[in-house]
Amino acid sequence: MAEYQAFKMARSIILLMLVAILSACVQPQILVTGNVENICSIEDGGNLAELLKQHEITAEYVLFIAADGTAFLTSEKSFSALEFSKKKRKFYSHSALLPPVCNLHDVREICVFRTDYSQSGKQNEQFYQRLTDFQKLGESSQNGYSVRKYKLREK
Amino acid sequence: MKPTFIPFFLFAALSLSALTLIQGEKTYDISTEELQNYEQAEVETQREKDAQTKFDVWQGTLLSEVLAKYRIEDFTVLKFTSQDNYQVRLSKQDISAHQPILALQKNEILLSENEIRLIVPPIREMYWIKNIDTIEVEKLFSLPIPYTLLSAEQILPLLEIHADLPDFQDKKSYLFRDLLTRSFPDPQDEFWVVGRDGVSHRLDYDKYLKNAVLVIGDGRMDLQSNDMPNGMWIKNLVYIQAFDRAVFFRTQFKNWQEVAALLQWKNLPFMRDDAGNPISFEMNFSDPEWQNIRLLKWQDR
Repeated sequence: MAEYQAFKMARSIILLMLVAILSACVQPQILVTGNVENICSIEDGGNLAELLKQHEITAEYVLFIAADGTAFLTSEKSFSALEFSKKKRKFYSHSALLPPVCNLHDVREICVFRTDYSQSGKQNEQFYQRLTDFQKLGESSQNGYSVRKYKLREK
Repeated sequence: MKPTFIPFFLFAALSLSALTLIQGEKTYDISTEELQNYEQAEVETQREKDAQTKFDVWQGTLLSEVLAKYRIEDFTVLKFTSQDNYQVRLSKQDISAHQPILALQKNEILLSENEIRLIVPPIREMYWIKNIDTIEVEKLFSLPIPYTLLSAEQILPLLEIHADLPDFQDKKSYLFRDLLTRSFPDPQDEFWVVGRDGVSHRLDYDKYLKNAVLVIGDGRMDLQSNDMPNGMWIKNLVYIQAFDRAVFFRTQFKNWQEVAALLQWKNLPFMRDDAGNPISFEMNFSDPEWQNIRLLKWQDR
């Protein structure tokens, strides 16, 4: 009986270790959603304008969404002033020029708006649909950069 | 403007709430009686109406007195809304410079509660809102210079023209929301809409714009909606802005100088088209090159 208990405990420990190893191997990522042909992800930190260019993503506005439901919307003008850093397996957005609302912890998703997508006959539904999940809290501006803050609506 | 006294008995019967002052979470119901208890002021106005010059003498409460009593100092604009949803905004500078009154009497005749009217003599009459329901204190975020400008002439051909809308059956029109959803990241926003004559409003989508139409006229578009009193309709709509993005009706202007003058831009834009080519702010709007320009980005010099 004691041997069986020890076996069970050992099995649990091994399982826990496996989960820990597996989760350590899975790269954190930021989902790219909205007016895009295919949902993709960003797995590296860096300057937003450059990351979008690398991934061939065209955007006029981006809604940044953090794990806690806070979000901000900003236009293309701000992209080159926004950085993503990866710390402890989480993405952080930050900027020395933009208003402080741009400093988000644990960014999980960026939702892209672009109108040439709608010019091609498709409406901007994906972006709008996602935006309706959020409630606008306010607007702020710094160094000529404007940002809107949102939070996830309570369901 | 001179102080006057209005006999108390004129208002004795009027003690119901005339209007509500809203400051954030706080609301203050203000009765007609309370309004008459402030020191009264008198203003004389002269206006053209039905091809005649009208002279009137208005007596009432200085708005600044009401604001002082409720310690309302930290604001950018006041939003006045009437019972029928007519809406005007007055900036702090306008209030300070022009000393508007909440008129309780006109030509020595007492106004009924639903005739109490904001009188701002130097500002055009359409701002003299009556039947005021609420006065809301706003720390309105001034709109930034638009980073992106879209040409309405490039978007409108993509929209469906309606000739059978229930309230506009004899008119060809576009649904305003179709233009917004083609152009703005948040079509349910508050939009600044401007007519060629300079009349402008900041209008909430849900309250005013969701059922609005752009009536196609002779070389112009009029913004109309049954959710807006007629006095708020915009004749010859030329500019729409929300956040840092705008749609402008290029063919209603000759050049950027005219746009800048209407919108009170301090600088003329230095822009690039969607392909990144620089666009001279000196280029006339009738230049054939404009036919291909869909979108402009305002660049820092």
